[in-house]
Amino acid sequence: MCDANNDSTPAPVSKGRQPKRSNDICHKCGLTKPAVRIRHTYYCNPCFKKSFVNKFRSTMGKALRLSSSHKPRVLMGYSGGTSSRALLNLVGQYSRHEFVTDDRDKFAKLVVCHIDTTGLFPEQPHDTEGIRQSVEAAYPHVTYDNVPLEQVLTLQTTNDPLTGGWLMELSPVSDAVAGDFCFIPRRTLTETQSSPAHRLTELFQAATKLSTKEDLLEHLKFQLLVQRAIHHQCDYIILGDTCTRLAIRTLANTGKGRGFALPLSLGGHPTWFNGIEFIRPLRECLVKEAALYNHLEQLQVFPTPSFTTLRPTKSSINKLTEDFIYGLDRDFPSTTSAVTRTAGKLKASDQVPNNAACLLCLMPVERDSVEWKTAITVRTCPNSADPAPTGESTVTAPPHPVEVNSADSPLRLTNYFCYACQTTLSEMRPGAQLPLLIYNESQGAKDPKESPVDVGGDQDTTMGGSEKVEQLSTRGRLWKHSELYDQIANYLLE
Amino acid sequence: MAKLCEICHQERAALRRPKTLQSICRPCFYHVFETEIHHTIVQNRLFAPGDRVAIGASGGKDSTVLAYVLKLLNERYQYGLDLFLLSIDEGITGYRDDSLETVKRNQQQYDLPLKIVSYEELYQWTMDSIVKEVGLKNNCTFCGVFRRQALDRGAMMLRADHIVTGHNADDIAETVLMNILRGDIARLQRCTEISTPGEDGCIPRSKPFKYTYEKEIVMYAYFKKLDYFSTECIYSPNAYRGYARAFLKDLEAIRSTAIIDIIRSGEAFQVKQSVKLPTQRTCQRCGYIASNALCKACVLLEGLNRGLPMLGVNRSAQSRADSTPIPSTTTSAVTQQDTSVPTPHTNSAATGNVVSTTAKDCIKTIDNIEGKRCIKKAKTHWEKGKAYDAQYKSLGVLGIEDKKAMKKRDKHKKLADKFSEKEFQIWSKYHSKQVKS
Repeated sequence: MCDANNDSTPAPVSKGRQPKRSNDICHKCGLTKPAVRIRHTYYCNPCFKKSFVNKFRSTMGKALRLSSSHKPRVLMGYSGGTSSRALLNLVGQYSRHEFVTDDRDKFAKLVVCHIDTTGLFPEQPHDTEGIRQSVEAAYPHVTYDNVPLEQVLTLQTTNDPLTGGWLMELSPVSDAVAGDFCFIPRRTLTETQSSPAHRLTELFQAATKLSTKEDLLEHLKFQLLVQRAIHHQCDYIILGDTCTRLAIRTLANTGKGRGFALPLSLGGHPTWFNGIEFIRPLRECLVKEAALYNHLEQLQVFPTPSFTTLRPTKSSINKLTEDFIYGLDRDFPSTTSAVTRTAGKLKASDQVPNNAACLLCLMPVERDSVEWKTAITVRTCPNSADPAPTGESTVTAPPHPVEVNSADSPLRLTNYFCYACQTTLSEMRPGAQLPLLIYNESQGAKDPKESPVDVGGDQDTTMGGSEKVEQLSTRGRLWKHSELYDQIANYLLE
Repeated sequence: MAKLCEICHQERAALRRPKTLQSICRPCFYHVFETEIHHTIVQNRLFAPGDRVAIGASGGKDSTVLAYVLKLLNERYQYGLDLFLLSIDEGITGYRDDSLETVKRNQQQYDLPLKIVSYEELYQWTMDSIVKEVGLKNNCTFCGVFRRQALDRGAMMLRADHIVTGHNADDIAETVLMNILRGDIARLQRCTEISTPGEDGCIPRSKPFKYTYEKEIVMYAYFKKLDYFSTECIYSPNAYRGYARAFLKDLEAIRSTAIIDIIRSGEAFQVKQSVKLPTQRTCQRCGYIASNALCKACVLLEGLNRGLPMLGVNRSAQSRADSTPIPSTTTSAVTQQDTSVPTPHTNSAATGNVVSTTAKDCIKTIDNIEGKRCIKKAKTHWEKGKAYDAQYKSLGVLGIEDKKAMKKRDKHKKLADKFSEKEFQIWSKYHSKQVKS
């Protein structure tokens, strides 16, 4: 019957539509079998390497705008971990022209700075010598700078007597609940006798929670890096943050209340850090790509010690976010890039003041953080007069003339910390000695709000929160009254 | 051994506030809880005296506490508001019908007038019938989009000046995280606003619980023994939002101020000027605010009524349709047929015939997806027909005529042709020149 007819009919094909591209062949060269799949693209090994290097070179080229007359001094942060190891190789190759000429170097100076945290993690293996050799053997034209983290405590960056060379001791009269932090300045060299390494351990022991410790470490590393860049007179700092890392930081920083500084901490700002610009050339690569590159190039990676190694997921905010992003990326492969792209569309807030850098994280200080907090929380007795919602009473302190050298008068420095760092401080025990640095030299002396006020009397502080991880479940379908009780049971005292 | 309240220093502390970690007594907790909401209302100037305010009431803890507290504050501070309860009946058997009972009880307890609007009367679809169509995975999209509009319509029926909803700090923090994860920059900027401005005839809506922890709401309801319904929706929560929610709960467990911190971050986000944001306009079919020519509800309804339930839900389907664009040179070919698709929107008749080029684009996308659907169906029928043909032939060799197989083969062949033809019609609608040549 219609056998012949049926055979001759081709399968229905839509008109005017493109066929899908095949996954059996490298999407880039279209010649060989693919070996790697990055997101939705299939590459063969050489093509992958090429595209990885190209991504790096395009970001570097756009950021540096090199020419024979413009040779910047560059500092690269190097931890020895996956992404910074890949970055070191890329920067090492990039920093010299391929052809041997008299003037081969693209940079006036290339410093590779490694911050040594051995003092903090004595029990975790740390191959300082191996890291040094990995740099010096392969890249002889590079200046290697190994800095112990303790050094952050003995810095003297400014000549301002108020800030340089002082450690600020968190005074027990600070009130964490009300968001009021007082400090007693201590001379770094004269007043404390113990070694810097010992004091560093003490500082981290004063942090009550793992999240606080991690934050503190991050800020101190950052401070030190900026300080080293100033020391070496560098114009640029290159960091190995990958797309994955940036996505984690975006989310974690949002969770910590650092939304204000997010654009600055991800993209950098040419005028903020004493004119030092940040470049993150791997910002479009996944950490998986960096690991793959290391594998293909046979580069040795060194483990980076951290507070949360071998800890459960819920031990700190960073660790939780990291596991969350990794887990989500497995199911929804575009998550990381979506997060970083979203963060890239944000700009520094209009309210960013020009010279007020947070004493701890060096990011801008919002003007209204204390007011905002007081406006949304009520802490007073029903019988007392209803305070004005703007909470002005807590902010305006009568301006007194600054008298710093007169020993132990506590300085009320709350307005010098950003919102998130105030939270960090509230999780520190009193007596913690923090290195507080001001890089904008003009700022420290000028601000009229600076007013040491005697806060006496009430010694009762509410900072005894121990390091605990609460387990809360929300999986139940039907919430009975008893289950509702369970939900809030942690907060009930009766 | 009892600890004293850290606020009044007189009574025994009954709870630890999640927001500040202070140990406080019950009276102080009531005072703090209510006054914070009062401050939020006063500082943001949410209401004007004499406003008619519709409270979106689901019967759950948030809206129950909201109704209770608003009534209390209205009397205590003399806001001078007319309060109404407004409930949406999504038509979910075993969930909403039960919770509506709670709302009705609340109505009697608080002595507030109640209005119930159902999806069925607005859209002629209940959630039960939608779930039958789309399955469990994406039904929350429909429910959420429709509820938003239904609330507005219900408030219009009540002639209300303002809608308040029980969104708490946890919900807002969760939305901030969601919008970062999804890359929805426009919503990221909008989602922390305490109230949406009432422009273009839209009713302003606000969230007085913006800075109130979910936990404290639960505590308040628990201590005051308020009557509320406490079951989660029987259609499981949206998968992606579930991730964000679990993450937020874990964050809160590590640091209880995390929720407020996220809102703080969210408020600080500002979008670069160079980033293109979708502009808000009005839907050309129903007149509701929309970011495209057609509002989401209209697109979803169109999908439901055409039998393409994933329309407007499935992002990949949309982007694939966009990647093979139909040339826009022949826009004149759009027929009246497209606009005359019956829509259950009550007020669509007036604006339904006015179609600008942008509305055409929307319909083009819809057509594009439908075309793909057709070609896929045609292919499967063609393959089935081929299989039956093979069966028919193999028996034919043995001298047996398999009439059954023959019939099925012809049926599938016909269907394949039919869908092929339909796809071609859709395609030629946009390619009239190529068809002529």
